[in-house]
Amino acid sequence: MQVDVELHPGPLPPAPPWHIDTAGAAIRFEGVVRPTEQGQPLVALDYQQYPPMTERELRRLAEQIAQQHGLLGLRVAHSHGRVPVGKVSFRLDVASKHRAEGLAAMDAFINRLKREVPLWKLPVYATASAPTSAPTHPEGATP
Amino acid sequence: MQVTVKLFGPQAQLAGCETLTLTLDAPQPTCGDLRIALADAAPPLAPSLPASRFAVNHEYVPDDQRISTDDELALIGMISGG
Repeated sequence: MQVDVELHPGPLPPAPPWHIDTAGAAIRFEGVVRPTEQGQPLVALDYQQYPPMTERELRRLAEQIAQQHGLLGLRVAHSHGRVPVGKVSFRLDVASKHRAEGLAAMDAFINRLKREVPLWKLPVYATASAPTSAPTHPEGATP
Repeated sequence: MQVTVKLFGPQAQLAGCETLTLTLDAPQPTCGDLRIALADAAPPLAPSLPASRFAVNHEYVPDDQRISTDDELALIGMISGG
């Protein structure tokens, strides 16, 4: 079983080749930044991670899903930092013997990713008035 | 005991800062005590706290986990990867 995890600064580049000889199903999902958020035009999404916990939890999830669904391979890449509208911020490749376990693994992975992996996204709106980030107070502060 | 909690993403925006330093009165405070103190210190966070988790030194922990001043504490909530 092959498991690869990557956190990438900015938009994901085109997927590099990935082939598992014994697979009967190879499934890919790509998440693309939508042009609007809650009806407002977007410029980009800012993804925030918490190193090294983010990568550790992403790997833990990938290994669990691959084992639970009997996959032959799983490869996941997620952006951090700014990703413009229309660009890919998330890619999941799953290789399995048959399609059923691959499709189930894909769904399970994405559902758990959104609950378990410390990754946040903040919308960058086209209008300048919307906040895009919070200030840092190194000494700690009560707002 | 004084502790500092890291905040991220929308919760940092709600609180208006990326770290919060709080004083916990319990002699051996837990993450449960921290959850209550956070709601008091930053009321805009309160609605999101029940569905949030704490990480101590980069590992998820339950609310009965004891904490010390040396621990790195992080509030992990409103996550939205993918």
